[in-house]
Amino acid sequence: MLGAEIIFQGPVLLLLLLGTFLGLIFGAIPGLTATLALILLLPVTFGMEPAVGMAVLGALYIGGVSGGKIPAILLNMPGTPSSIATTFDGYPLCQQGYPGKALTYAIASSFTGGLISLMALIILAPFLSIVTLRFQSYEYFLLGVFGLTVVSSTTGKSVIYGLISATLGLMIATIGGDPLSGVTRFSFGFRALRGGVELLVAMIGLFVMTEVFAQTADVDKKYSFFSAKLDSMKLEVKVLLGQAKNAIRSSLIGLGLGMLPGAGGTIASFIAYDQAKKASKHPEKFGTGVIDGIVAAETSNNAVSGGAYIPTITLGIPGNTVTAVILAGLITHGISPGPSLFRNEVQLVYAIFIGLFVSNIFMFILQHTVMIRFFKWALRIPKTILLPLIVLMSIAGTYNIRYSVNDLWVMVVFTGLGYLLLNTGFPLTPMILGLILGPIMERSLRTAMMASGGNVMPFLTRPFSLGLVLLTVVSLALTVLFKRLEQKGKLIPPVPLSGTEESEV
Amino acid sequence: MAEIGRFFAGQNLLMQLLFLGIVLASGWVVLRPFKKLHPYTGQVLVLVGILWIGILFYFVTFSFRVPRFTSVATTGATVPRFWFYVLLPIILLAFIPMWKGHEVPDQKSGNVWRVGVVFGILLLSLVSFRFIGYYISSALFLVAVMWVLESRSKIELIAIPLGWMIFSYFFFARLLYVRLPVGALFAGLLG
Repeated sequence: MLGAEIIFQGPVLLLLLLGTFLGLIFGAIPGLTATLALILLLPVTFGMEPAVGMAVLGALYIGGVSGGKIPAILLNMPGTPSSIATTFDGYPLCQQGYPGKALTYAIASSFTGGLISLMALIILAPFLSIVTLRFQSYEYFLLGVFGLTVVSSTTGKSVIYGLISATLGLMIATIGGDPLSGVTRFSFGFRALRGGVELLVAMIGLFVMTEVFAQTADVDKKYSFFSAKLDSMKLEVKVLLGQAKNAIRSSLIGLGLGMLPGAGGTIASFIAYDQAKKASKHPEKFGTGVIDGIVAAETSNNAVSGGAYIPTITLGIPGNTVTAVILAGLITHGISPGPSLFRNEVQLVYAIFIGLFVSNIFMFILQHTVMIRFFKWALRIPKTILLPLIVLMSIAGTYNIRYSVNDLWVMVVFTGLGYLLLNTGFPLTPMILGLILGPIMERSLRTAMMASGGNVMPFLTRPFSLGLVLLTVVSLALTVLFKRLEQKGKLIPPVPLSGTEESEV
Repeated sequence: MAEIGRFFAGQNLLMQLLFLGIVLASGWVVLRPFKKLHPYTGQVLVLVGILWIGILFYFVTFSFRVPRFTSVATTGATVPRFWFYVLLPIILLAFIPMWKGHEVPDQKSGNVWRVGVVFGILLLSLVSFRFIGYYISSALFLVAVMWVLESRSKIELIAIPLGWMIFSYFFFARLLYVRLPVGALFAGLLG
């Protein structure tokens, strides 16, 4: 098979194992991310063959994305943005005394999602990219609107609070240089804001630090999982088979969205979670620690990793920050990404895909053995020690992004903001998604307006755009309808979706 | 509009925080006579704060210089204003359930005093960064926060910060080549 002879060599397999392991550690430690792992280790791959180097970066990516689920489930702190939806059911299940069960099904879901997306990629890659080529700025803007609407309706106590949080995120995303005219906006003389709010800084402040402070307030509470023991980690075949439909649907969502530049694992996991909830016979149980929620979130976000390679390799447009680093890696290794890559570098492309496939298997084995034992030990660390240690890791992680002390102050501001929002019932997830999607949506909206000469009609007349508008309206209408029915007592009110966001309700 | 925009754009972050404080205090005063809104004081103030940020951004957009090339349909002000137009009606909608008494009231936030103290220690630790560097300030931070979180074991209070200092040095500086600040004091001493 093309590319297999490059990957299936002892030293290369060892490098992939090491890459996956390091990725898992970076993904699992709040404050350290897959992006950071890739940036730090990119220079190490310079001495390798391009195909091997790119496969190692892929291994770091697979490990980094998968590792995020561990703190998401055990600490309610997503290691990566794509693990946010995993907290919704993973953390409540952990709090109920089943951290092992939550982790086992999350690991199996990650493996399944990665596997399905990679199999689809290997077979369909050249054909799938044609669809995304038809998306223009109108569709990218509306995709952002759709993603934010879905997130706002699936997190927090009300759709309105979710939308406010999302819009606040979008507004904060406009801080810094205007991408088209170069005007500096809303920096108010603060140097760290001239280039805009660094996404990772905001994320560490809003998620990691806010969670630490929320737990600091309740450090006396007895339900702390730190004293808990890991329960059984056996996979039940019956449960697995019952989740097959959910896993396939979520994988396809992840694969499809992974191909769209800018969409990525975060939106995919939310949409998959939302779809699983809508398809479930018991939607009211979502957010209480159901396996369906964990499977949907983890299958979809891992399916994205395969899909995200499509625009990166075929169009030269990275799907997210991590694939942007991978794109940089490709260029550094002297490979020109673009439509001609599939024609000229077939062996390299398939070596990368096989490398991802192998890394996915390593990820499954490592998480089930070494990583779980590592975290089994970590479970015994008292909160009084772990919480300040997480703060210190977050400080080091934030400082490392741009070697800037000013970024630490920005992180502190986001911590304060996050804590206030959290304690007044505003979900934080839509806000961070607004921050992620804000620049893409702004660029898309303005490009679209320029292309149409200020005419908004193409948003409604282009088939893909119209489809996205209808999807957004239907999704919002259904959510409002369900909330009304809940209020009238015709539906059982759902238990809060996320421990982080509404643990006190 | 442009005058107001230029005024606000010319103020630094500290002044912006002061303005926000004034707006929140005014909001609290206005809220006092409306007893039915008292259970939602926290939510109302957060909404007022967000609304103020929106208004501030909206006015500041009028201070942006407009590019000379007129064929462009949008400017740097277009999207921030667009988000403000989206935000305004949603915030107004958020007040309705509170006014009707249908919203979930503010919840108790645990030990807020302790959160405040830990936050204060964090701020002090960041200030001390420039002088004593990451490694020593992180050790002091650990001791202080562990004490506040009621950890009283002397062994833990000494071993954990010391262990962290050694671990973080080897992990960040030696393994990952992350150049964490050593502080002006030690940089000076070490020449």
